[in-house]
Amino acid sequence: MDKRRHLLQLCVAAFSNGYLYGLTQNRLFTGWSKRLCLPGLHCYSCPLATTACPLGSLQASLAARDLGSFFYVAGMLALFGSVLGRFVCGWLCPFGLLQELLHKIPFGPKLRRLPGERALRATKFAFLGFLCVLLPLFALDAFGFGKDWFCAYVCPAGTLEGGLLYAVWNEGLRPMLSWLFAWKLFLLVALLLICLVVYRPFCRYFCPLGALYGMGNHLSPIRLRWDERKCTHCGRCHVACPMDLDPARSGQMSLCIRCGKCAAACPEGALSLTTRRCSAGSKVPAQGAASTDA
Amino acid sequence: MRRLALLVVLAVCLIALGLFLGGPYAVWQKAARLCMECIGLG
Repeated sequence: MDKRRHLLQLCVAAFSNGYLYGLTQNRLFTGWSKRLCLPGLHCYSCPLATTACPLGSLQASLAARDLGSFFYVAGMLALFGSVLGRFVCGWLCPFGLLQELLHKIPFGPKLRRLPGERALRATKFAFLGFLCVLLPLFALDAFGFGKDWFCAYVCPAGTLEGGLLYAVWNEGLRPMLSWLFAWKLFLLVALLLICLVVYRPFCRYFCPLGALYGMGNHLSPIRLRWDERKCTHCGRCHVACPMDLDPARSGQMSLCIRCGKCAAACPEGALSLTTRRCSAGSKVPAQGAASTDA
Repeated sequence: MRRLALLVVLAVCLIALGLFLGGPYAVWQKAARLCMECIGLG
């Protein structure tokens, strides 16, 4: 299951950031595919990018007060969120893949959660509400335009895929590096270091896209099925879950990225990742069962 | 299942409206230009 997942993640990353010619020419891709939003987080200002980031496009549409692009991007987000949920995070997001690979490096202790877990998990909703919607919409400059607050001040994908690549490859841009670049670089380095210790910290705590898709997790047809009759309550699924969830109780909760590790760890085959509706005797784990999940 | 179907229909309607109002072109305009702030050079 993990091999298939990583292969798909690599394919999506290669498609969304596969414009190698742009790196040699120091210019952005301007083809038709930049009209499409891929569901995962990636920077469209990266010289390798061939598609648009849905989160950046959402902020840009709100900042520019452009109804056409807002409807288009909001529709895409609603479609991805309701049909796929956080399956996107586990199987399709290039930035999620990077965090997973970093976590595999045997360096330092591996923690299941950070202190202040609940408050940290709520941060992604604050980022979504304030930095991605309210500030782009209402914090206007002298010309009446907003700006992409999350992209400008937080997004580590932008710093990694855009800022760092340009800083390394384009000498002309280096004198323009300012406090903003230093701030974003600090955030990126801190995040990458935390990735060594905690599994997918950005997805768990800070990703507004994950917060949005998480709301669709209980609607998505891609779900965990738990067979109550087969379950012996041994707890192996909870130990196997890298997001520190108890899948038998909270499989549909907003944090589950549908990686399927719990299903692979179950010796009785009580858990499965499926798109089928539940049959008699098996059920979707209850939405409100686990109080620790956000 | 009904809620999912409703949401999918709503999403498709939004996308269709966005297409009608030139949404993809506006997305392209933003995505095909270097955003200095996004890459931390603002």
